[in-house]
Amino acid sequence: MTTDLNPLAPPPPPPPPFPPSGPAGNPFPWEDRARLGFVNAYLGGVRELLTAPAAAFARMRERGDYASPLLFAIVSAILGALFSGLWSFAFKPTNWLAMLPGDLGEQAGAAAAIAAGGFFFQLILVPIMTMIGLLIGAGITHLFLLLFGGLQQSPSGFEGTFRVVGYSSVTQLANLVPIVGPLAGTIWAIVLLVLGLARLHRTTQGRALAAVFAPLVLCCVCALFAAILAGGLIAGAIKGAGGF
Amino acid sequence: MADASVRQLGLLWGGAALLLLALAPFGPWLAAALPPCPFLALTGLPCAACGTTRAALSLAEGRPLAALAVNPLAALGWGAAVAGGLAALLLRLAGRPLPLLPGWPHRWRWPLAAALGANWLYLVARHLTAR
Repeated sequence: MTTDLNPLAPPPPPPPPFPPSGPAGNPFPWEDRARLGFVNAYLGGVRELLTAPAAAFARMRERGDYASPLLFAIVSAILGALFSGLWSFAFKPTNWLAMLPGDLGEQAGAAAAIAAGGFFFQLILVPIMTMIGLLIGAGITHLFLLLFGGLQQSPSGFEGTFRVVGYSSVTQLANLVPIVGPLAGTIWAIVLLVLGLARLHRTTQGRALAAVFAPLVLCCVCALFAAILAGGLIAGAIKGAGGF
Repeated sequence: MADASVRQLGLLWGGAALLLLALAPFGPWLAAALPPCPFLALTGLPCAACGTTRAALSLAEGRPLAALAVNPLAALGWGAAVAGGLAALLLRLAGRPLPLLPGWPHRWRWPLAAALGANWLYLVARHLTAR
């Protein structure tokens, strides 16, 4: 207190524009897995990205650790693929036919066994495809961040984008909910990407949003219009048929 | 910390490049699982990324000119991703620093946008003239 009143004391440093990031004191749970344990750290990371994503990105490291987001993305992708496979198995009528006695049951059983084999082969491929996909996805997002001027004050460079894309893979867990889960996961992923890129690259959320949306818009804008049009037509048809 | 980042990126990039080369024989099978381009289906015109998969498959078959014809920017991107990854891995194993990665030079911003635009125009023109 006395120091604060001392006129000869040097002026306090100006506050940083963003709170400092990093593991000091209270790290992001997944990056503290040596202390918390693998499962607890993963669940803690998922919970934080779900309930307080901005705080999660503020608490995580910005550089020097490509392995953590990669491992997090691989675990999330494997769990997402498991959930997705479970639902597609449950909703496939031929899999239920396998329970019938006789030839039909045998044929359906053989088809279900082949499908199950294919699914387990896919599970083996998931970590490889996640690693490649993460690098390519981060590369494309980084390219568009550059185009929209979102990297001018970035302290973390490509690793920042890689980390955000990697941790945003947590949205694959939305496959736990059938049908609407993937759609909700997509929206959640966009929110995470925008918050994370804005935080780790010290840029605006508008630039981050533009960098996330530009690749989607370039390829899918017409599909979006078609979906809205189809939705409108279906709603109109239901209304006309006396629904609502 | 920055050195650790660059070292890890060298390993990761190199590993991904090796995996891409290892997966190349399975390319047609993997590509069959991809959905068709919604932009092309709805507008009749190729999107900016149309031909990326075919360019990768052509490169995997050792036909770089065919890959360049399908989508020049994608072919160059795939080539740079694999060649750069292998170079990064070799440098990492030799204990040498990566010579690149000074951060993205911001003066590349507009040339990059121009390259993307020109590539898209080429794809549209090629598609229209092929009809």
